[in-house]
Amino acid sequence: VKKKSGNLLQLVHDKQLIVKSVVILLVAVISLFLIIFFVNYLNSIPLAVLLGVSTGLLLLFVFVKKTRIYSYLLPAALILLIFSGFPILFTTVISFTNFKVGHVISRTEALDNLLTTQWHVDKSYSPYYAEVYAPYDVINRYDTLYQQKMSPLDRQLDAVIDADLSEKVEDVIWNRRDKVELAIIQSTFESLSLEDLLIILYPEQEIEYATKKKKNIKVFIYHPGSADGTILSCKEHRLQDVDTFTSGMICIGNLVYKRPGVENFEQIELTLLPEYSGRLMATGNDEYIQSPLVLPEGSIYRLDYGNRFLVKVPRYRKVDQEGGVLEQLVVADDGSYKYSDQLIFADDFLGSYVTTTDNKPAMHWQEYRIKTPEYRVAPWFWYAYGKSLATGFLDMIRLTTGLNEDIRSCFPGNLESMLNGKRVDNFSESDMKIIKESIKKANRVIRQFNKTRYGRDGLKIKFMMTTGERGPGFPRLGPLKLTKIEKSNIATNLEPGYRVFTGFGGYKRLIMSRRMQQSFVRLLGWTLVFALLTVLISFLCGLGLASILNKPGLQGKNIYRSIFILPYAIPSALLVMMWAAFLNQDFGVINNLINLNIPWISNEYLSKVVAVSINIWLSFPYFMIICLGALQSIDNELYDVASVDGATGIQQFWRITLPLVLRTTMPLLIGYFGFTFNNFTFIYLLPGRGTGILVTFIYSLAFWGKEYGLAAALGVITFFIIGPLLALQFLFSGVLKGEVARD
Amino acid sequence: LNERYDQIAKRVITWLPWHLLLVALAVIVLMPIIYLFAAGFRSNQAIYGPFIDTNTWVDVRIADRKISRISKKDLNQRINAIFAGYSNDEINAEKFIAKQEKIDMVPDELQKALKLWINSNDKPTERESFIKAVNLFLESMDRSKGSVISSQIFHEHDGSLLYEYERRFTLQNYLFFFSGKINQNSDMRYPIFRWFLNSLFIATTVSLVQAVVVVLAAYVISRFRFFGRRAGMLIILTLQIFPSAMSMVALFLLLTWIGRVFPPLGIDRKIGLILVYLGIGIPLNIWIAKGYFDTIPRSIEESAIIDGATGWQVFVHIFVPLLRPVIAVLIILSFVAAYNEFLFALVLITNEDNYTLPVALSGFMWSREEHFFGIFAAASCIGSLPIVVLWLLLQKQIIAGLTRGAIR
Repeated sequence: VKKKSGNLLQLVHDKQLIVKSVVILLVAVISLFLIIFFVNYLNSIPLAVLLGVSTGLLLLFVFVKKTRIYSYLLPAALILLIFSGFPILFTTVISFTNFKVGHVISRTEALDNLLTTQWHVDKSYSPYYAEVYAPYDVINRYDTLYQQKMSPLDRQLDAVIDADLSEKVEDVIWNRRDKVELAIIQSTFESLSLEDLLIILYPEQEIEYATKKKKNIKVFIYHPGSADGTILSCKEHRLQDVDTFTSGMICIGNLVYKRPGVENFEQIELTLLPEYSGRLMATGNDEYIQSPLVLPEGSIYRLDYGNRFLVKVPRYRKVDQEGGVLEQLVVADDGSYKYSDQLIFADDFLGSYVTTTDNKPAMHWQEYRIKTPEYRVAPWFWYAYGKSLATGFLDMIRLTTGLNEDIRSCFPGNLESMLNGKRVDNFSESDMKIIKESIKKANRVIRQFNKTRYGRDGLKIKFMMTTGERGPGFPRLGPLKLTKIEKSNIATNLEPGYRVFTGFGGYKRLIMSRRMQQSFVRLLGWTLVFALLTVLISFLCGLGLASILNKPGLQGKNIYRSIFILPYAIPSALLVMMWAAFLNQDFGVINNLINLNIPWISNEYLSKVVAVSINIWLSFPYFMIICLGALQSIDNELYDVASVDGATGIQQFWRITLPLVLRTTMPLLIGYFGFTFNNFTFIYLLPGRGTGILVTFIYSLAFWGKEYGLAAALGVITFFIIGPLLALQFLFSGVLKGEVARD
Repeated sequence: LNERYDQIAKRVITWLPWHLLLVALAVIVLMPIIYLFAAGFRSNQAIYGPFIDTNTWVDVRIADRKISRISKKDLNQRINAIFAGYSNDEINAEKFIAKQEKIDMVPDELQKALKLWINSNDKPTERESFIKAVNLFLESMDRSKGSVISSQIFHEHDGSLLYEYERRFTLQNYLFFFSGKINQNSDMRYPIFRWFLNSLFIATTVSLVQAVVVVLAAYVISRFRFFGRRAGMLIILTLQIFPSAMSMVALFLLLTWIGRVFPPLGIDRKIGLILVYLGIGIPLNIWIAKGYFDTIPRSIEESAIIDGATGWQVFVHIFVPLLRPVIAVLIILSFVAAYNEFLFALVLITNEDNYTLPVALSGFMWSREEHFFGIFAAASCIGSLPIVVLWLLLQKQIIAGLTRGAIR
């Protein structure tokens, strides 16, 4: 019996093995097919490699017993790798580049683009219309193919139109029809060589006149070259002789010159045949430049669109092989053109090809500037109308009291000429000393001016101040400052630019650049305040509510809990949209109820209050839930002992409840802080003035400004702000403690 | 008996204040939601309106309000008839029969304005101001021509009002949710039901796939010691700490590139979005699932292994039945998360047909909230139904899942 059962086990085992190997074989074959499909039809080697590697790993894990465990991890690992890990790495990488709209392609691609796709049309040459002729048998082939493949589709289309189905269905069939048609055209002309074609060129300006008046003009009959681009023949003929050349051929595309006895085949435009049009068109790479039509007098014609041929000249020309210096075509008013030897196009190595003002390679340097004094306004003096009034008035006073001259007199010689055009490195120490001292002197004058309340007219100003909206915040003049400004000899940046590693350039722009820095610091501050206030107040609300609901003996607890949960349970996006509608200044519920016109979300300060309070309304249920859980886990004996010791209710709350609740809910509080810090949904859907947080700023940078690199840099910075906090959450929650210790 | 009453009185006195407080709080908290719910049943689309609508017009002379209801179309015809020269009495005696022919008497601009007003869903106050404006216009016309049109349209001979608004309850907004047609006449369709189905499909797929993937991975991480386990766990931790919103640019570009070679996984495809959601949700859920696995004693599987079961058999026959509640929690949590997600649905989906409900509604409502608030209200009521029902039915499980990740 024992032996038999052993055999049975063996048999079962064998069967399993067979099933397993069949499945594995299937998986391998399918993935092989997919890989071939990816490589051949989608031209995507990375995708194929990924598929191959993952299949290989799967097979390895299943076959080799020791590694079998990893097969359980494979799906999670793959998804995490591609959709979580890779994006993080990628974010970090592009945060070091200048990746943005207009700087998407690589450097060589940008150069290629400049050299080969930008053309100047030489208008001194008359344009030509072309008729292209092909042998009859080509068309016969096309006809048979068309009959075979297109008629069923046409019938289907008729049926759909008759049935009056939705436009989408029609669109699908139309699209398929177009695709099939294009495929038929391409396969028809596959075997056709360029020599089989015949091109007749009619001078654009004369053909219309000539056909009307039955006059004769000269046309070019053109036998295109062989595959290597040599020209077979191109001769001038009279219009009436044209027909003798086209016997036995059929015109593809439109007939330029309608005449009896010539058939044409409109469906096929020359541009549908990329093989042929590519040789004639002014696009593509250098190798095509030689092949377009060359007329006997020597002018080179290129296909523009449809069947129009023009003389075109590339707009840029490469001069220097190594440095990538380019020359630009200069076109005079009379239409003549030449390659300039004045303008130089150079690579600035910062993401674009540029023209320089002084024929030299692109350079960047710094110069000193003395910043004109700005008006300093007290913080409470934010009232825009009053501010502009006051500054305007102050400008006037500066003129009338001669302050501007006083300041100027502090400096030896002309201030502008002293600093202009001189680089920072070129200043000697003695020069700097003189400049710094005169600035000090000028600042003393300004201070004096401020002290005397704007000099002789002080009384008048006082009068203005009392009649004007606000007194105490009247602006005062700030000091002069010596600043460095960036200069370069770049005149224009050429489109397109290219993508290049800029190191910490993006980060510098965010943190150091004055304008960005202000908005960045303000954003960060507001984001922190927003998240902190939301979490703290909602936590307190939740804790209060939870301690009421946790009272022993309270009836209907579940009902209350279910009701209070609703603001958290309903998808928050919908609720935020609801609030945005309620707070609408003109049509909203709240303004209509209280019959006032309060700018809830368009006022810079009110909108922030509103944002925090609504976010509290949305999130207090969450804290109620977790506090309920935490309160229930507190041992009641603690309270008994405390009351025996004579602790009051308030003492019990501070000494027992709060610490214990905080200890258990701290990780969740931090987690929620992180969530609120990045709560895109809320801010995006309640777009108040000045309520933007870092995430919404990233979004607008990336998807409105198309500044991908900068957005990524901001993302990385944000991670360094919020990441440690979230890591702290894990320390609190003890996920690691149990794990790492056990190993 | 007195004692019992005393007890009841005592209980009432001690608990009534708390109940009053809680009810008051509940009313304050729920007021906006109740208002939204009520707005779904209004035919008036204004954000601000009474709980029940005042949109239809009623002929006040007829006592029975059901019969006296007059549609805007009829009102328009009446105005046209007055301009055509019929007197109020003639119209009341139904001598005027609505004809299809165009009445040229009404100045074109005024007719257009009337039509606009009649087809609009303006606030009542705006309607009144419009009436005033029209009256002014007509009076000036009367003065110049010596006619009495102005008093005829809205008033009887004696100056009393002819029509007033009627309160009305409607299911039109809910019908719109399924039909997608805002009104019968216009050809515009909004595939709002389709958006709802998209949301459901994405959330369901994400939750099911995620449960499978996560449970598989958590099983191995919890039960076995193997090479790279610790490193893997640290990687998962780092991935989780990095806020997903930060990599929106990278994900957008990644999906754009994938979409170029393999469209089904690319941008604007539901599968792409689903994979992104999986990538975001897996790290946290692995921790939750692993926590549950750790609570199951090892002795259970050890006995099975002694009996000759393989790892896979142990997993399928022992762990999966034991973990059914946990798997349910995982599914529910990721369903709710995916259903509520907004940012990636906004960034990664560009075609209107593939929108999820929140994104689609936000686009649909963009600066139009004052015109379509009833529709929005109905849509958000239906849209939040799946989640609210889940919450109310499975509160305990969801709360356990929300807090279990941290409170243990």
